[in-house]
Formats: sequence, structure tokens, C-alpha cells
Amino acid sequence: MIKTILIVDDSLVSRMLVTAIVKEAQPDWNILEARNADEAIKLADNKIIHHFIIDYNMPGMNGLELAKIFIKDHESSRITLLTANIQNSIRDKAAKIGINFKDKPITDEKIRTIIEE
Amino acid sequence: MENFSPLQNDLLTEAFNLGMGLAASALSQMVGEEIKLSVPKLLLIKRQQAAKILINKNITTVTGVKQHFDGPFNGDALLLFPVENSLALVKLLLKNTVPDDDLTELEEEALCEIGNIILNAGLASIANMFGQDIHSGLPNFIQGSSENIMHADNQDSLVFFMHVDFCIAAANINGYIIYMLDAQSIQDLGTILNKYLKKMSLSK
Repeated sequence: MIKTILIVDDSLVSRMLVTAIVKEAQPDWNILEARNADEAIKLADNKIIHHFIIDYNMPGMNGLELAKIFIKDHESSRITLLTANIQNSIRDKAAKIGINFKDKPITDEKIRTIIEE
Repeated sequence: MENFSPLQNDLLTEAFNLGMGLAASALSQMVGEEIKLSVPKLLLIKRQQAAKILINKNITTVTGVKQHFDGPFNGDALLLFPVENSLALVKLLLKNTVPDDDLTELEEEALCEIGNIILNAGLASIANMFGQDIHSGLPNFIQGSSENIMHADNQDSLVFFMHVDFCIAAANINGYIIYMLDAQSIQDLGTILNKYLKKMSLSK
């Protein structure tokens, strides 16, 4: 099945790495990228997004706040917080709102696990 | 170190050690090579002396990432490389997916991402061990002399300086991870350490 994934991260390198892994694993998927929450919200509007991979620490709205918006607007999507901020407090907040948590660094295995769930 | 007791110093060294282990593990995953770490050093020194630590290693111009953090204590975290090492590190990170000619364009972005992961690993370890919530700012690319980076113009102000040297032997890359806390934060950290020691029934 062809799916659409939205990668939200202010780091170009992170977006490149995730995109490369998703392209290799699922060459037919649509891959969208956003640098921050505002861009992501615009991009996701009126679209079916199957997977969101969201960084936590970004300029403007953080990834958890953005995830809450997508939980409401994209109920059947899978949302993963992919972050360098591996404090227990952030993990707990992600769990509390019902989204996945994955720690950076980005590896082939981690991204494949996210998109195969 | 004057301001911390031997037990506090030991506890902080252990927390820092754990953090640096996490940081090394993360860096190793990113570049696919073993990372060797030095023994961490924790020092209460003047900013001017902090700059000299780098200068004494023959590192006069550095490039890297700076990330401010605040919460229960405030300070700056830095990941620094001698300027000639940074592109080699970026190349390792991007694993030959980007042509050499394009590497310089991505250098700042790539270093910021590496710095973000490594510096947060150290902070997270301390935050988790002591049950604190530390807010880290966005990583900023920096380049300049060791004196400028360490604000040695404010040379008499005291900083609590935690650092570890690391080496990616296979690629001949050396780097430095540094956390600097200002004088007020040293006291705040001391309070947190005492609470932890009391909780673990280790304080006298």
C-alpha cells in the first residue's frame, strides 16, 4: 500500500537521513518534509498522513505540542517523537499522550521499526 | 574542587560519566566507528583558564556547536573540534551519500545535529539521575578562537567546567565535550546533589 509520511525536523541533515532510509525501505511512499510546526500543519492540512515523525526541540512550537494537534486532526495516523532529548520527562510526556518515542541518533533499524509498525 | 565535597564531586563525576557513555554510544552509532573517551575532568576555574585548557592542547581555532541549557541550573554545553577536523566528521556522518564538494554547505547543519544529540545525552543523564527537568535550547554553530568561545574576556568569572576528550581513532578526529555552569548555578547544583545523597542515605 502506498502511504504518506511527514517528517518534521528543523535539522536538514536529520530530514535527509530519515528520507533516505524511508526511500530505500518504501520506494513508492510519498515523503513530505517540514522544518517546523507551522510548515507541518500547513502541509498536513486536508491530507491523509499515515506516519508522522516529529522532532521535539524546534524553533516555535515543540514536537509534543505539534503531536497533540495531529492526534486530534489525524486520528488514525501513527505519530513518533524522534528526538535527541532523551530525558525521562519527555519520554513520559510522549507516553501520556499516546505517541511513540524514539531516541536519536537516526539509524536504519529505528526508522524501519517506526514505519513497519 | 573547592565548592563540592568529595562525595558530591564523586556523584557528579559518576553522573557525567554515564552521560558521556551515552554520548559516545550515540556518536558511535552515527559514524559507525569506535569512540575513545578520556577520563572526565571536573574543575572550578576562571573562564580564562578554561580557554587555556584548549590552547594547551594546541587548539587555537575551534568549530562546533553551543547549546544553552536552563532549568534547575543554567549553563552552556559545547561540542568542539579543531577546525581542520570538522569536515571529516561530517563526511563520516553522511556516509558518502553527499559529494565532497557539497559537504561544506552541510557542515553547519550536520555539526548542529551531532552536537544536539551528544550534548543532550549528557544533560539527559544528569537530569534523569537527579530527577530534574532541564530545558536545552537549539544548537548553534560556532567557530572562533578558544578565548572567544570561552568568553575569556570575562576572564575572572568562575565557571564549573566539566569536560571529556574523545577520539575517533579510525578517522583521526579529536573532539571535546564541555559543560560550563556559572557561579550561581554551581550552588543550585550543589543543593540538588545534597538532596540526592540524602535520598540515597549517603549523606553524613
